[in-house]
Amino acid sequence: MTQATSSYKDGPAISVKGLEKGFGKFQIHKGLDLDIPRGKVTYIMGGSGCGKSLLLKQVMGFIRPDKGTIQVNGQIMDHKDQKNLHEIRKNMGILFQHGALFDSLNVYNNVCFSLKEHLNLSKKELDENVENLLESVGLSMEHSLKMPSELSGGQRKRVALARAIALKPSIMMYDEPTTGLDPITTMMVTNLIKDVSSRHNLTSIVISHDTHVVFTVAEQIAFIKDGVVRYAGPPKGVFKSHDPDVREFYSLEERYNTED
Amino acid sequence: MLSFAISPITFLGKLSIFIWNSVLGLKRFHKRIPIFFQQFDFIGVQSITVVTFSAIFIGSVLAFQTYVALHYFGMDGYLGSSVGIALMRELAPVFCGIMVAGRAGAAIAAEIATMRVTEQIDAMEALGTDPHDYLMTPRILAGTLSLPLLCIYFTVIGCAAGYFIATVVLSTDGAVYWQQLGWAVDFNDVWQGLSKAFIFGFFLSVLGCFYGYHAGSNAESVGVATNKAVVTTALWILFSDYILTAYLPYDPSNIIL
Repeated sequence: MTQATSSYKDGPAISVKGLEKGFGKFQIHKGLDLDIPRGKVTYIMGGSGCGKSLLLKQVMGFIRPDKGTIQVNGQIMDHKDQKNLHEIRKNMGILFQHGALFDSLNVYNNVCFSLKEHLNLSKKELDENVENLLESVGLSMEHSLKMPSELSGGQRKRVALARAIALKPSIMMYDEPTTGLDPITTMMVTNLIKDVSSRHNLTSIVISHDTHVVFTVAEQIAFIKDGVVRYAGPPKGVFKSHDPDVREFYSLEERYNTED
Repeated sequence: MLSFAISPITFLGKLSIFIWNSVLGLKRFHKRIPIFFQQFDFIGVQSITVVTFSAIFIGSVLAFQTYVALHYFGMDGYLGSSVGIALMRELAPVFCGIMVAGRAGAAIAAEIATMRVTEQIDAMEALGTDPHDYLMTPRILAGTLSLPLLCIYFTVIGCAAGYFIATVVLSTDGAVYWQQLGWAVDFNDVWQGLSKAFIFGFFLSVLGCFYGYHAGSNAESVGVATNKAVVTTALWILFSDYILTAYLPYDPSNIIL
């Protein structure tokens, strides 16, 4: 059953308690607890296979946890109740690693997909919305008739971001948004995340490996290892952490990024 | 051994939930009418070429082979009725089902599996749209409704091809061919053929959507989903054809020989 607390706006945007998830013999999350503060950019980091994307997919309701609760804006997520999931998802947007634009629709129809689905807007209103959304991600209406296959990697992510924020979600999630991009496009996407988050006052959750970017953009960091959160707090606090794994991960990543 | 027994039950359970969710998608069907017509065009209209060629060859072969048997007993005049009944009741729905499953069912499975692999289905859910009512319901409805029409078309083309062989190649009387065909094929045959086509159309679209939707997350799974969709549909069509032939109520005394 779902229940919303009246004072949820004072608490965290997302609250994960005792999350457990495994696939066969492999236990990925082993009682993971995490609070995502409202209105801040939180980066989730950790080694490959530690369950960062899995956490995001559980928060979005795509995958059902074995145990534990996920609370979004004070509402407990019930994975068995599709209505509840759809309601919660309306307040959340997600940018997938490769954009996940609908191949069969052009940029215009991709961007206004959720507007057409959930709002009764006239053609003129849709045009205005699409124009504003494309503008907010640095694209123009000239791109609106292009198909996803005609866009570059960076443009795809911009269009996907425009589509994700169309319904004005309060929470935005980014699944490795800079993976596979060149350094200039990486910087552009990172700035876009920062810009969109502050302009729309969003709670942002970003999964990334790029420690250089993390320390310039993140207001909060969560480090996952062995199925639990080993560090959650401001970026600078990482270096004061007594957890050797946390210190090792950041020093190795930092060194790798500098050499790269 | 236990998993061997459990897996069909799990499969049927998952399939039932999938079908139920797609039925619930009918509530928002008024918003999916353009997608329905798009799919109707893809599954039905664009299958006409493959159905035409299949019907020509099946009708021709059927006329040849039936003539051999009938001629042996001196019953050449019954060629039209034999061809008409065989096509309407059996060959049109079964061949249409298998041909359309190979063309459209495979394409549906591949398209939806690709959407699964590229996270487009997750993106759709994230945008608050149920993939069942957006993707599955229009496809299932289009497949279910287009196959009976293709079945009628197949029968007409097959009978015409049989007529061509009967008159031009086998030199039998064309007027007798049509007279016998019209006399023998009645409402029961049409009903039996169309109800089979309706069910086979449902199978091919449901299984195409189901295997696509439950595809894994890598490129290989697109091929696996397509393969499973086509093979399972063909087997289900053949199996259910037997069940429907054996148990569908019709009056055997209507067969005029």
